[in-house]
Amino acid sequence: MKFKDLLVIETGPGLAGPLVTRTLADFGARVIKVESRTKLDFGKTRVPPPGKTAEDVLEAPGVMEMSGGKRSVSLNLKTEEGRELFCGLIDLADVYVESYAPGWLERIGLSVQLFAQRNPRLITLSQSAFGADGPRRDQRAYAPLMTAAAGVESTVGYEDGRIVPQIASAVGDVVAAYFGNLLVLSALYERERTGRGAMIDMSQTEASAAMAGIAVAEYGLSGDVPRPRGNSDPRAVPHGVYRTAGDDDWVALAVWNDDEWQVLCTSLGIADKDRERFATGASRIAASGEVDAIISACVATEKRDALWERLQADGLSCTPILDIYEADDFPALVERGLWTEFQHPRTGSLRMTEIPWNFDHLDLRRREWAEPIGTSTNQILTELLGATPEQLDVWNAAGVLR
Amino acid sequence: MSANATITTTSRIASRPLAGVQVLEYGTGVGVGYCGALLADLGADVVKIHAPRDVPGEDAVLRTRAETLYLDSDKTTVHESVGAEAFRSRFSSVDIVLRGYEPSDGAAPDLRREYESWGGGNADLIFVAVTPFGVTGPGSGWHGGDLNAQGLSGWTSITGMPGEAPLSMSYGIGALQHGLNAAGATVAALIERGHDQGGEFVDVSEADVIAACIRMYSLTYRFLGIPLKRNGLRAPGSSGRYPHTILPCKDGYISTICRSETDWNRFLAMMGSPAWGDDPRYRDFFAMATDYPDEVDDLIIPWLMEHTKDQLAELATTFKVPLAPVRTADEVVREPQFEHRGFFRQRTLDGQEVIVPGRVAHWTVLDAGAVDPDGGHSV
Repeated sequence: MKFKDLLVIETGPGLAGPLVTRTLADFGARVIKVESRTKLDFGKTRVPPPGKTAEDVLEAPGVMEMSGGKRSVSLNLKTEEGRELFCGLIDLADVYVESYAPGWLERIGLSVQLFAQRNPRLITLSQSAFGADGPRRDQRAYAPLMTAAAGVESTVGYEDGRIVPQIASAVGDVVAAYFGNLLVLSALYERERTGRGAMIDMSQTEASAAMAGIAVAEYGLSGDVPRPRGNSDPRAVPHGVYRTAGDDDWVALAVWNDDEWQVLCTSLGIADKDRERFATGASRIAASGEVDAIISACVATEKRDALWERLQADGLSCTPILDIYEADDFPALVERGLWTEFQHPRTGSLRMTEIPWNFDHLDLRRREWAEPIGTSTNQILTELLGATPEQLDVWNAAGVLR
Repeated sequence: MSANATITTTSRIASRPLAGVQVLEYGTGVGVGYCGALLADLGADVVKIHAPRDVPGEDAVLRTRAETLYLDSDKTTVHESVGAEAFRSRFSSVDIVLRGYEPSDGAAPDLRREYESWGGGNADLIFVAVTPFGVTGPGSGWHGGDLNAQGLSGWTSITGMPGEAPLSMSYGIGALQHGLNAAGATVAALIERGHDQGGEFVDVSEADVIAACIRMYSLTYRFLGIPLKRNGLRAPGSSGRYPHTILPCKDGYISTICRSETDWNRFLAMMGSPAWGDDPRYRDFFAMATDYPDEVDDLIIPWLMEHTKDQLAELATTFKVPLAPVRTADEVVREPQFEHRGFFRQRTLDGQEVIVPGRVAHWTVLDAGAVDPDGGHSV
């Protein structure tokens, strides 16, 4: 079955699960987001900032990122008819992705086991914070909590030992999403060959812990607890960020061998005595603080962009530290098609993020805006489940389609 | 749908959806190594071309051994001269070539040309370029690695203390994300190859992967009107709702976020419902987040300092509060939740047994006997 022939159903808030199904939508799959006005995604219930309204929140760019290309069907799963309609969609689906806390389906009389029995070719991905079982099963969590519990955050910080979290970036969500992608795609590949569906119970915190795998392996091999290392790498000195002239301008610079060190010394005008003292990797590693201080002094008055362009031309690993607004317009990202400009009917032009995979042939791209909640309810229920206008009226009146 | 399937549980290790897929991995880098490791974990037969390199110093040796242990344990490692005729001949029929590149390898190779030379003898080949900046665009020939890719992405600029150096992810965390993305893209190409499409050239850059990740979040900050820049232990402007931060406790740190009024009410209940919690000043969620978060911290920290990480984790579970301890590696490997789910697995390097993270999911399959493999439905 090709991607464009897949039917995918999604329930769940936030980023992790929705990004899995958005990826499938970008491949051309038909993705239906089943949601309810009785329990909105927390991304749609943010406190509106000054000057914004609750309606703006419903169509905020973050919501658009996660739900692009999907159809929205509103169903109140607390009603019996709502559950029957939902099961009807599940019966037709190839993939079902859910990312609420464990037990929510069971509380309304449903389960992924039930879905699998009704539809043996179905692939279900359940993405909860800690997995479907275990002592932390019911613990509530968001991405930065998962990376904290997983041992990731304790490795980020300065070389003096201060931990500084990646709290603005919520890496745990995205990592969970891409693990979800890998698992669902692998299950689809297997189903092509065997006809078997699969039920996948994924822990988002385990996904984050997988990112701490090298640190965990170091601990296992040495018995020493990995601590923050700043921007250093044990195999290269210099390997760090260096401040240049300007308000908050920095470059990332690494030297990987002794030849590169000689090139750097020439380019920066490093004194001969220092060039010689630190001519070998071992000597630079043994005095990394001194080497860093020498380089910092050399680059402090240089303009960032002139510096990194010159060092690149010299064959060295040097690039600018871009802030996120600069990254928006940086040619090495823009020209790879990482962003796409869209005109939203209400909020105007917005630049959205593409899935960062490039193919010669596979067609992976954002196709449509996210729909407002319930936009496709009538059409989908009619088309897929044969609902009549009279039935839709009855369900609407009974709150089934809220 | 009328079929009733028998559900058969398999262990997370035994499930091998990519069984029979032949993969060749060469070139250096954590990204390509992790891509190969993930495919191997899912059942593919991965052959890695060993590329030894001399590293100076104890820490460097430890890092290299840790990477070998985590990334290569489930692969077949061989010593071959890449590019030699015998090499091409031996691996001419593989399904997938994973090609990494790092600055320590020297000048950036022309991977498009390399793919074409492989594809000449194998029209169905999937060639995956796992590089810092990609094989197209102005950065395609640049020198650089994990540190540089993170810096370009915008990620580094937002991590760190205000006024101090920006921080990148260390211990290969950025490159592991790169490898994870490359693995997903590889399997997508594998699925499509089974239809009317033949081979595929896949290009996944670390700069793209990290930039896409942070940008998805930056849109929310832009919507909230909060500048996204490094802000120490707290998310900038608490991302619009207090708290969204790391705070100290008796034996370390905890991370906590409240996304709703319910979350905040539970947090206060966990603290024993202090009287200040009813003050309207501490019910204005956006103002607490953006205008006086330090003031609210000062009300909470004394209570946190009376509790250990483990005690707070228990309380958080009881009160359903989004809060987690900031765990270190030694704590993570003893965490009962991971142990319960059998997450860690044992691997051996030079006779030393070490546990490392395993598969992140329990995988349950349906009994094939109950299912018609050619069945299915049209939508």
